[in-house]
Amino acid sequence: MVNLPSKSVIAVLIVIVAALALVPLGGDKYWIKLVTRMIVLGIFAMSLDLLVGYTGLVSFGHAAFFGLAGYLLHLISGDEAAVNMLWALPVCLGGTAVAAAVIGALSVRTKGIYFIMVTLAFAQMLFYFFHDSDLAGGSDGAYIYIKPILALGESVLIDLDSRYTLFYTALISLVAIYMVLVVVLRSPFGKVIQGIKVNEHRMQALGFNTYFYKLASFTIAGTLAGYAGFLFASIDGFVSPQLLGWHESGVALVMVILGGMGTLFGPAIGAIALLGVEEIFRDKALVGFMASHWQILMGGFVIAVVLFMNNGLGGLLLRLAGRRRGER
Amino acid sequence: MSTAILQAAHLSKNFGGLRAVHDVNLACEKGQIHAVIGPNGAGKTTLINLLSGDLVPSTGVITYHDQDITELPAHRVSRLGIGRSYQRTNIFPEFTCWQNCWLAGQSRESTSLRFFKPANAARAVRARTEDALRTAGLEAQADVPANEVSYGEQRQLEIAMLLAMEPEVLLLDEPLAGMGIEESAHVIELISRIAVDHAIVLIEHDMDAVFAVADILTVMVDGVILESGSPEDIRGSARVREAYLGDEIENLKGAPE
Repeated sequence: MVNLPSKSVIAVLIVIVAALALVPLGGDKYWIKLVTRMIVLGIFAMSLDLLVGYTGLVSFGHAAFFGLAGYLLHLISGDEAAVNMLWALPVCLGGTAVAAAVIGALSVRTKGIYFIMVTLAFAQMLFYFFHDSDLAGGSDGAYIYIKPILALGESVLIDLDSRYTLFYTALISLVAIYMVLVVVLRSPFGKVIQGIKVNEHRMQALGFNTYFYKLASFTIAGTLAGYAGFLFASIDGFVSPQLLGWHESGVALVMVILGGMGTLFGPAIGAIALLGVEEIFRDKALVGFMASHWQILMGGFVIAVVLFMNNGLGGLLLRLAGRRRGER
Repeated sequence: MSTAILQAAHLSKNFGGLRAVHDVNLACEKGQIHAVIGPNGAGKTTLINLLSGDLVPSTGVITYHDQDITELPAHRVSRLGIGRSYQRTNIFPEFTCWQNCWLAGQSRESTSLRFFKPANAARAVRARTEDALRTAGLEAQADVPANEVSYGEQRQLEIAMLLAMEPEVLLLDEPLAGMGIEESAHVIELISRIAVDHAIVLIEHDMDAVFAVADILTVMVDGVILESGSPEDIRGSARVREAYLGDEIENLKGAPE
């Protein structure tokens, strides 16, 4: 069962967030964009951890909701005026939630490898829908020319067109979503899904309608992935079918495994690490000629983490900080 | 039979060509332990699975307080007040004993679709958890992960989880399986204590224990009921002796009470 992280883990997390918060002060456009991407993918990976690490549902189609929210944002965005998040966010997240509920209703009936395959199949259906239809630029993708704003009456509170605003919106969202998920995992609902992960059959015998709780978890995770997708589409102002594809779903799984399943903060660290390490391995000044074969180095890195760290970077951090036991 | 809480009439279950359970009638009243005995493969566990909703019978009717529950799924049956334990320990190994019982206690809440309130704030669940652990004698192990306590304690935990569900009917599938003599005695004592205000269906191989606690005995062989009656009747039955009990019953007769 989820415990509050110990004080030392919280301290490390605060240091990481503080370090991230300093990045825009350097003013380097490339770095701000890169770190924004890390943070948004961190939210995406964290939402997947709710399924993989806490409900025991290994989804291989989680990007469907990430990409779908991006596409919905494109579809409601105009060429002349920015959309107001006050209604754009409910529309995008509501649409994603409905999609997650429908896909979930059909897929959480299955278990194990079948669940992996069914979620993959649904995500690929959405991928080919946007890839092959003229609805949103087909395989070329489509632009969001004017990024969303949050406005109350005449006053614009948040304008995602500003890279600074977008950065801090993403960072605050990451921290807020982490905290909300910790609360949710300690709630009666959170206990139920963690019980399902360990022994679903026993949960049924105890009287829980496990199908229903798994569906709720799937829908929440999908909606949060949609929020990440909404922010991600606002980074470049561009969406493409790749956002919904199996590759993106796979990357999210790698982030979760790299960061540590069932640690919640771990997958966010995994996202930061994955993008950061890629940056290092692509740098000619650091790795020489291997920079053009960076995928080999990346493969080695992922294998090393999985082999030598029990439950990824998050697991390592928890072990270094010492286990906290006895919380009921 | 009108006082029976749980009643099964003409229950049958076929797996392909195999008649696992055939035309079984069974009733259980409050304050009564109804033991089902029989050789391996007699269909005892299948019977429990039918009563608990894990399996749907091929034919026959199960009623609980005159409500037809024959086709209800396991989680609905459980919520009505029929709890079951398992022959092979079926717990949450990595959770503490407390957390195991907590989940059982929480299952009695009207809904667990509460997302923001800390689970630990639920007083009723806390009370159920504490009572169950105390009754089962596991208070000292409350904060130990279930996979770190002894096998006997895991079996006790299984019963504690049942108690936390506050069921009216308990279906116990070989609660003494694999236990030492001392642990067995402890659990037998626990079961007879619980029996006062519960209806219990007990499957057990330990004949000393069965004859000590059972109010009614049903003997199953090859999926059908061979004989059903008081322990004295069963002890005296020539058919039962022939088919199943054999020497064991001789020993029982001579055994001091």
